[in-house]
Amino acid sequence: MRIGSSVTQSSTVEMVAMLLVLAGDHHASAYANAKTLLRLFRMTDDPVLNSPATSSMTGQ
Amino acid sequence: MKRLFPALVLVTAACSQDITGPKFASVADLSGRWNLAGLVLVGVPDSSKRLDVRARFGLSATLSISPGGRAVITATAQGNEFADTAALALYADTLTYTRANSYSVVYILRGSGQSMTWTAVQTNDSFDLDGDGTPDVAREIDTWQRF
Repeated sequence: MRIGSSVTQSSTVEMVAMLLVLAGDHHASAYANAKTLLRLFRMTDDPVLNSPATSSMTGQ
Repeated sequence: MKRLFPALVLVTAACSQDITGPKFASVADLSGRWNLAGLVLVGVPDSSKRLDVRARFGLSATLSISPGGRAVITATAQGNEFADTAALALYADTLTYTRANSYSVVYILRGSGQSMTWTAVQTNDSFDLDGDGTPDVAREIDTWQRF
């Protein structure tokens, strides 16, 4: 499965973040965790993945 | 001098204990198939904070590198399979991984013929390494073993 090719990058990150929350990650850090995992797993083409984590999901 | 020589031999041997093959002089020396032996996130500057990404997410990966530096990673994590292609460039110990039509990640390459470690130069990754709800600045370190 290749995540990121058919949905927007932000929604992909938020989807993974939600999965992490369901798996027990803290809500406040799940978005940052998801962004890093997507980069580590080479699952996204976002060129600015390493920008500071911000998300409407976390409210940060 | 008689006492110094054995000491020098011991120091030299100690320094070369992790050498199992020739050093990587060019990207062609990396060619072949590699197995992901480790992927960890290490806190910056607090390196005592660590996350074993490979273990936590059940990650397995294979890396194939052509003599020209084309890299293909195939991986599986929690039942999901994915792949990535990139171009590798090596200058001294600096390895640049440039994804197809996308961004680059720069690593410091260490190792020899049978194993290598990629330590990300960037420290812009963040991950809640200690589970306190606050993202920590982290650095990626990959370890590869040749098949």
